[in-house]
Amino acid sequence: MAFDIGSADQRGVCGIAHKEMLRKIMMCATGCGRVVSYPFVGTGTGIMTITHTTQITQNEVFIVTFTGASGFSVMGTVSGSQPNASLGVPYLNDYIGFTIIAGDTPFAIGDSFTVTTKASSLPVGQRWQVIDYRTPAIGSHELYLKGFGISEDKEIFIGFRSYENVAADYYNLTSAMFIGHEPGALWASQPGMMESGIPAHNQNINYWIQVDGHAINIAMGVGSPVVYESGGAGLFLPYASPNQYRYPGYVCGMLNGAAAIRYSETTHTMGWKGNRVNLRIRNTAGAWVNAITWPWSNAYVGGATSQLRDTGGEYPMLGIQLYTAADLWGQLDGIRYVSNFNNTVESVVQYGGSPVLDNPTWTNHRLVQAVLDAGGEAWVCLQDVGRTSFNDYFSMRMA
Amino acid sequence: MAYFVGAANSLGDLQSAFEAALGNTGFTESSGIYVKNDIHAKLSVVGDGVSIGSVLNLSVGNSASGSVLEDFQSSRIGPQSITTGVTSWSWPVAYHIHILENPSEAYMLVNYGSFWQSLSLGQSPAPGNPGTGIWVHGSIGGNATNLGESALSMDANGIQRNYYYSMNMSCCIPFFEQGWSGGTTIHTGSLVHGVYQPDGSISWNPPTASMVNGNGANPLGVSSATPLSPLLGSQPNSWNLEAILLPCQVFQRRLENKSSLVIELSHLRITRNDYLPDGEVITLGSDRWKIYSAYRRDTAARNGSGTSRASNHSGTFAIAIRYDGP
Repeated sequence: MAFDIGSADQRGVCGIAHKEMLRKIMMCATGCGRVVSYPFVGTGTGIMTITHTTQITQNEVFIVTFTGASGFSVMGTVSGSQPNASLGVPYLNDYIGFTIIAGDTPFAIGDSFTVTTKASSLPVGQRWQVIDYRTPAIGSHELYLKGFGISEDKEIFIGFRSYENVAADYYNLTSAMFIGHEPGALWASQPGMMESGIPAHNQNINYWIQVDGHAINIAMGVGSPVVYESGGAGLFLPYASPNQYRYPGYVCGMLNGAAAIRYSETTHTMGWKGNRVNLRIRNTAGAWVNAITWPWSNAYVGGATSQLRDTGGEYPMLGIQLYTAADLWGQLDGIRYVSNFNNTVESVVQYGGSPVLDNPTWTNHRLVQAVLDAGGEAWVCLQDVGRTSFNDYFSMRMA
Repeated sequence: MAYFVGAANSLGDLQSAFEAALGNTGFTESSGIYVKNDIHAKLSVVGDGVSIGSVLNLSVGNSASGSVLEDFQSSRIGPQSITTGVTSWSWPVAYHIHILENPSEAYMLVNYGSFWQSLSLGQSPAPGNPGTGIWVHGSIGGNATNLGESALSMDANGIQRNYYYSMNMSCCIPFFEQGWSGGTTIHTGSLVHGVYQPDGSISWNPPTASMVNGNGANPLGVSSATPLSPLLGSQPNSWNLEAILLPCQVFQRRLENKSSLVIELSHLRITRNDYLPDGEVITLGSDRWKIYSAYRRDTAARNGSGTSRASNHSGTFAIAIRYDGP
């Protein structure tokens, strides 16, 4: 599994946040590394925007230091001295890319960013292949991916695309799944296509991306006040042998298809809760059907009668069971139910490892990395749009 | 991990077999008490050991003083009367004992004819459980007063509604009791140390508390059945007729309409045996699981008896225990 946590905004390569998000998904899916943090020390008020990591990004720290005359030196703790960067000019070396823009207070000599990078933990054989990236319209960018599964011998076809309407002020993504790829066919005509919209934003997105060989899941914090939109596509873990159930696919989002709905709309609901059109699974007959999900369907665990809470301060992550009336199909991998009893959004639940970490001054990514460095499992708790009741949270494993 | 199988001509034989299995698998014995981690277990026969009304009693406590258990609870197995169609034991009976590690869990299944009873113990706390998480289970509740009846009632979701006779009879599925809101007291065959009292202190679950009726009157009820709804009722799958082995997660109903995961049995699964005969071994990856009926398999009335008193079967409710035998 691999992950990334960060932000996508209009200062990125694409110039607009939701399409930049597609690029972030693509980088994480194809095995590019990630930037854990890039704190600044100095007097200048300029801003660094991380634009790139690569497949050879490694575990190291880059010190990006202002040297005067609009120049920055770039020194890696492992890769050594890198080409210099210039203020306002997109920078890219073999490991990272960024852009630094000036602020109201100029940088002073010695001002520096400390950029901590990590290599992707996605095994080479599980990296997704970009089989197409299309821009059929200004508002629509389409990312087609092919995966090979954890067993590295499968063919899994999923995609993410952007759609937008300037007048209606929505800038959304969809997650999608196919059963193959036809180069000459439009998105909607791809074989077996199913998609679900995920409201996003054109200005700024705080994101969580989770990738493994058989699925990609995302969550985004958008708008003000922040609401949380999530979804994903790929194969779930089926309760069947590979020969019995060859393509246990799922598509999860927030909307019924590419609906014209903005993030600020208050009735849309995350698909993970199940029993709705924005969580569909592909059954053994090849039909897309709405999946019901446990524990949300259980009145005493995730339902109306009583709701799960902690056990002595520990929050169990309950596997999300996918079922229909007469069949229990399988379980989602890396996405679980977590209680929102005495919990907060973006909290990180640590399973195992030592010490137990909790530093409110750290970024979410830094805290997750610290948990991983301590030998623990890290699960980020996220919510259903703006809802904060006991059953409105789910968690994503970051590994 | 170890598996023992044999035959017994009395409850005393069963006691000896279970004690030998424990003694050979990491439990230390002192003054008749078998100890491992926080588990302090003691077996004893009450009655003549062969007749109706005799029981093999298993007590599990958090500590012991000499031969005396402290802070303990008990559960039992044994022959019942034949009233209301219930079949009693015919000697000899067969036993199957599974001793498992990480966490420590021990199961003894007793087979007489097509019927099964079980006696088991373990220490399987959920993370954060403020108790020790030790537990004991038997097919007859430790506090049951009427050993003459063993009617078993279940419904389509696997929920056991113990309508009759003060809940004498449980089944082989630990913590499967659900209770009934009609006022009949249950005497659960499953007890765990590590449930929250209303005042925040930690105790054993009372044998008269259910999860369904948990809020207010009985805030300490625990169950492995209620949390499985409706998954267990959907099994076996219609598309391939296979039944999924579902986890035995025990939740406690707490005050203010909340629930907490108390323990999770690592080496036992709950399933349906419509197409799985007793003793069938299922291989899933590197794990093997042995199937046992919850009481007596009846595929013609697969959802149990509902509210029927004298069903004398468990439909197609079953357990699977991790297995490393031949």
